[in-house]
Amino acid sequence: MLFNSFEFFLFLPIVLMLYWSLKRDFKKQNIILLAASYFFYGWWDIRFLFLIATTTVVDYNAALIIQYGMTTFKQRVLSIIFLVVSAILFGLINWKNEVAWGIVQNGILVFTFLLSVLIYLLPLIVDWFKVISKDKIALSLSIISNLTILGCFKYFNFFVDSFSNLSLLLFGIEPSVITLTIILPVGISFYTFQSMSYSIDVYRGQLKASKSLFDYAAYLSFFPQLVAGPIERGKTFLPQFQRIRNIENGGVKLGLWLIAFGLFKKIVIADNLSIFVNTVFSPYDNGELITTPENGLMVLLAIYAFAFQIYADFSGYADIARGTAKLFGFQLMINFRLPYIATNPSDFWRRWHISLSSWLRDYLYIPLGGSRGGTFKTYRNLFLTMLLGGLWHGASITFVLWGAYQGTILILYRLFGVESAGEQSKPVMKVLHVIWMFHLVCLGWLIFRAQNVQTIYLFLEAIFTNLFIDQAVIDGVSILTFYLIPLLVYQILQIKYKTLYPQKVMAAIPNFHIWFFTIMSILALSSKLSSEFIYFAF
Amino acid sequence: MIKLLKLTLLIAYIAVLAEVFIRFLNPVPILPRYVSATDYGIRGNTQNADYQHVTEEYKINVKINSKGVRSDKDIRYEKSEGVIRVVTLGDSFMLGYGAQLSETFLSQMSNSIVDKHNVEIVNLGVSGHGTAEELIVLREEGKKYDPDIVLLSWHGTDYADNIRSGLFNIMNGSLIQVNDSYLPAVKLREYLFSFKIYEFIASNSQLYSWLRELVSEMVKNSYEEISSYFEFQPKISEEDNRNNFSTEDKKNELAIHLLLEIKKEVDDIGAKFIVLDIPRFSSKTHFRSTFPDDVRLVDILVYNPITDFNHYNENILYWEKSDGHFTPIGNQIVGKALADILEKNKYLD
Repeated sequence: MLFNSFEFFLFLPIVLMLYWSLKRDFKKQNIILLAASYFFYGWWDIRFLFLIATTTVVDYNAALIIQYGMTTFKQRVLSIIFLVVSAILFGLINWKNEVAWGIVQNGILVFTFLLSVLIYLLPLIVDWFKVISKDKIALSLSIISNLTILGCFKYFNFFVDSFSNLSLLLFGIEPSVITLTIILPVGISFYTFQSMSYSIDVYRGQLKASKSLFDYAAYLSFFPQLVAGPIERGKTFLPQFQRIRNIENGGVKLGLWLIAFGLFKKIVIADNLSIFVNTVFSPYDNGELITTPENGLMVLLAIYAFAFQIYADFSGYADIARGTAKLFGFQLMINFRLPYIATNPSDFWRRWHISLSSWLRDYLYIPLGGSRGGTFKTYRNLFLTMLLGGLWHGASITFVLWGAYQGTILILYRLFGVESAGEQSKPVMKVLHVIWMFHLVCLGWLIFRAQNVQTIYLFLEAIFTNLFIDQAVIDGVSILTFYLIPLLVYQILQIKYKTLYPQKVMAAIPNFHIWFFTIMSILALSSKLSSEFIYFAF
Repeated sequence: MIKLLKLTLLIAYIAVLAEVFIRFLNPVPILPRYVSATDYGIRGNTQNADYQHVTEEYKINVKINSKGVRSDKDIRYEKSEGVIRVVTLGDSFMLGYGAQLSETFLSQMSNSIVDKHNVEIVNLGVSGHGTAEELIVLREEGKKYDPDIVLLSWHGTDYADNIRSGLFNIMNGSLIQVNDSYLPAVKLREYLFSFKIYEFIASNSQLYSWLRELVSEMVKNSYEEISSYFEFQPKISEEDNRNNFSTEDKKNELAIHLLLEIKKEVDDIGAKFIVLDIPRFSSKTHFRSTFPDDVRLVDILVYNPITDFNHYNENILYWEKSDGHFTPIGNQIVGKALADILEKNKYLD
């Protein structure tokens, strides 16, 4: 179900009513949230729910073993019932009347049986290993299962294709390989990372394992942030499921504002800019067009437009997620802090997709050694972290290149000792740093948006060779200006008032006009070509 | 009382602000639709209406005569000796939205043949009509004019309009009229237009025009969904259901049956039939036909202006920013081509 869909605006009030009708009983509220979240996620494809149920059961049990060295009989039986019911509802019933579903049904049957046995015997199995501690075994189980699910559903075809291409390139042999048609479940990278961080946090002693399966299942599947984050940490988010929730003072107003502003960013800015971006990029997407674009200025404008499209799209989703969560009395972390005013790459990553960059820092960069092993190792760790960060976005060579590019500019800034460039500079210098950094980010967005390496080359060639002003460029500038002015004005207010929610400190009249402009824009200026959020694919 | 006054002032302020917003950031054409209920249960042009259409690209006057025909004079049903009468059926394109009366393709067509033939045109086009309503107009009004030629305009929106109106359906392979009346919001419109202030707002406010389009789009979409699901779908024959007919197939099938029925009725009165297939445009140089591609329609003479448009595509042929109807140049090309086709096919002999 999309946030910008009619169904969602029926779904949300119904769930809110049911939820708040059980005001003091947070356990029952969690059940409502779990059911609502599964309904929300199953709206795309009900079969995806079996995957999330599997992740839930495995990590719930793994964390209990890590924390207590065992699971109780009741916890195991409940986990197995949860798994079996999920298997029946979401896997064994052939909802879509798929012809070849019988094979999948058999697979699910065998998998459910084996996993149920594993869950039941897990305390015994970890006891058999005398040399390795129980918590290490359980943590390994959690990480391996999460990475396996990601690997199978997101990267299998990519690795098989890459292996095949490499073999052809090096040895001139095309090996006989199997490529399965596997649908990419929406938001799989988000919830597997969230689930993995939970087990790791329990292992590190930063969080107590949840004894309640339903609390944990509701935490992992919480629909506002399920499909595109923020990737919440167990230590800050899970406790919110284990206590009575209240809406903070002004929370409803702020929640509704975040939803409205998120929608504005998505359907007014991102969707309208996408039309312009696609006119330049789409002809090159299938890799058949091999001529340099006529006008490099158009390419440049399209890259600028994409920079704001992806920002408005993704931060718009994050705003709606935060706003919706607030209406349920939950606090989600802030995922974007004005990323395009960053003055250097490190600053950018403290502002862009904060939940992912901090996840990569805490669970990848630091475990790899961080900056503790000397210059070379620091650079190596930075590069690897960003490379895997790129791969997290999808199984494509352009995402890998994008990750490598981000790693490289981080290293280069450190190499030249300017990793904090611009942060303490005078205003004029700071502006110059911001402009330079924005262009570095845009080069990254070219790599990110291009569907193949050839497009990157052709577009760069156009930018450095064919620049001229024509009517298309003037139209492009008008489109960009029209949609970006309101966003920039609001960001100036955010900077001026030093808060992401400037209306809080503004007088009633300007506040009213901001609301009016936002609502009218959503109604009158939204794109007719509504699309899914870009980050749903990751 | 003071609270009520404050609320009224607030609403008025919001309305003014919204009007300013729309005018500056999302200008919309002001195209008030003057339609009323006819005696035969569907919409017709409001008799003796005289109004303006204003957009950022053009401003035109529309005058409707006492019989609901876009014309600056009344036309008697009885045909004078030696007159070749062309009765036209269609939607806003046929009515001539976007063009002064002298610039419409019907006027252009008439001008091109007036030297050789005594032609009289009766334009029965009504904005919003689909093929289903056009069939009823032909039966109830068109035949009274004793036409020699019937010109029907086809537009891609007819597929959905035919379903939405719910006037006809296909049962066991035959076209059946299942409803006598289709008057969407006409009574409400007539009531509202009886207030001068409402008429003023409808003729001058862009906010009103925008809101009307917004609401009408929402209602249309919902109506089509509901109509298609609850009414139209079950009435398709069992055999069709077994053949997994999609909604698109059903729209297509209904359109074909309606066109064949119109052709049959025209043949029955001994008139000649021609269809103007109005192309959809996706850009200044890209046009596509939406006319049903079916062998059963092979006997119908259809004129599609895409080839002619491609010769003149350096010109602006449709009002691209406003409402997407033909510009005077677009009308001119269509009008002249229609005249040539009528001559070539000996429709005027």
